[in-house]
Amino acid sequence: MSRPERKGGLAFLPTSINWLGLALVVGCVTLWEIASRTLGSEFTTLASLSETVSALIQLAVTGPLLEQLFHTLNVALSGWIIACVIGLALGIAVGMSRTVWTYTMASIDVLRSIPSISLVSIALMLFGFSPKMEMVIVVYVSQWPMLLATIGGIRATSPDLIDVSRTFHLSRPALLFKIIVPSALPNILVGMRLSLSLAIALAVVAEMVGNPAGLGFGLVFSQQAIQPAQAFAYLLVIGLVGWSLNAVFVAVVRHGFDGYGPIV
Amino acid sequence: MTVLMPTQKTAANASVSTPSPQNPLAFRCRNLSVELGSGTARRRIIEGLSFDVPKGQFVCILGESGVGKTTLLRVFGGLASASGGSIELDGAPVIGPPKAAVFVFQNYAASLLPWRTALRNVEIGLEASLSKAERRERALAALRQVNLGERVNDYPRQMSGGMQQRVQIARALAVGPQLLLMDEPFGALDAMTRESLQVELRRLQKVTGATIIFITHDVDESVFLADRLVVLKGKPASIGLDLLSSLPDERDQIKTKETPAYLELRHTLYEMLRGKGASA
Repeated sequence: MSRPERKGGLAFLPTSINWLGLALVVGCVTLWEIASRTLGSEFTTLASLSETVSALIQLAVTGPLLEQLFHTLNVALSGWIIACVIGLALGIAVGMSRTVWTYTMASIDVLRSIPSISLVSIALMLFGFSPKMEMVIVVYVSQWPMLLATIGGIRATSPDLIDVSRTFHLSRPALLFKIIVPSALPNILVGMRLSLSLAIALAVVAEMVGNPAGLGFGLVFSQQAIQPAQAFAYLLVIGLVGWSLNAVFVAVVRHGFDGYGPIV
Repeated sequence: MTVLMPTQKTAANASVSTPSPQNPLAFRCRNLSVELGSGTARRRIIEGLSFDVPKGQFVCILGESGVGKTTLLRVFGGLASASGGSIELDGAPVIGPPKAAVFVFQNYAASLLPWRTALRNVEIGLEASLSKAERRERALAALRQVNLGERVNDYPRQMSGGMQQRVQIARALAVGPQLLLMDEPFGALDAMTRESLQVELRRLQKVTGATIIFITHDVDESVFLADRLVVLKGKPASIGLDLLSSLPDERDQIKTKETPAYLELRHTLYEMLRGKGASA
């Protein structure tokens, strides 16, 4: 066993604390507090750490923060899952069939090059200020990394493994699910991780611009109401959401795909 | 172009203890030709190759690198198609990979499924036909045969090259093949591991009764392993030499290699490969 210490229970948690990394975080936070106090006369809208934290507590206890957090998490995660399913299914179709690949690859290359933010205006025109618009944006944008990673992974299946499937007379479905998809899995997991970050980012953007709900709306509302402490509190929560979802994903992958060795 | 006619018993004291010629044929090919590439780059690799293998024979096919050994083996196993001639396995024409034949590939690292344990790798060929309990039992038995009974739950990356190649051999044996097609399976291994696997392979062949066609460019390996030695020669290639081994069935890495019969076979093969035996 190459990693015996990573077995069972909560063993996927870090085994030691990175004190140097932590020191930098503490240093930056301290600098922020000092800067907000000394530059306060020039930047009246720069909230200090202490103001941010008290705004955060107030928003969480009496304000709409938890509801907004739940909304954003809900949209980002369900949109991400839908995007993964769509990206995987389309990726398998494009990756497995020469014909489908020939027909679609030019369109895929053009469509994925459109910067995702610019699609928010189009979605807004089509669906109005609505949850539907937010979901469409999240799904559409975050399925691209999944689609491309799946296509790449499937087309990179080694011809040696195809020979193995032929000498052992695997059926077409067995070839797909026992050889090709597992061999593409490291690529697919990287695609899922990129999609997850995009899903969170696009949910927030859609909320800022189009759908009056969630953390993105809370952020832009605080900004327009000139409530810097609240805006910083939202920023902090959004950052924590992105960081923790990614950390959970990495931990699950490390724990669940032992045979592959290190993937993410 | 003159090529030695396929003959058996070319060596002076050949054919002492090889399977009797009355053995039913496992494998038969007639006037085989193979072309690769397309358009103007299309080249004839193999021409006019005829070759019968009785059941249970251990055949080594030798040849210089690039002569078409691997291509020939892929055609034998239905992984590539011939452009002319016929191939039969147990009387049935070979069109795709036949049920009764299994490949052992040269590149073990690329041919094992890295996401499966040794046991689950061996099970891959059994999953369509056997229940979970049955295939587990068969796979465990195959792994014990190659002395990997202790490592069944290890992943390939946790094993040495020799162990990985033994997993591949167990995977092939587990399906109970009549014909094993082995493409330089020990080529990438160190000398010590190679020699112990050669002894193991001879033993496994006696136990299972499988017919083996084994590709190598290593003269010593072929002489040690084979009941019968075939040299591919020429461009396009055909059989340059075909002789039965004069060595006893029981072989030992030290003693067998000191016998006059071993040295004589080795000499004959080297001369053939260097071009003294036939024009190229």
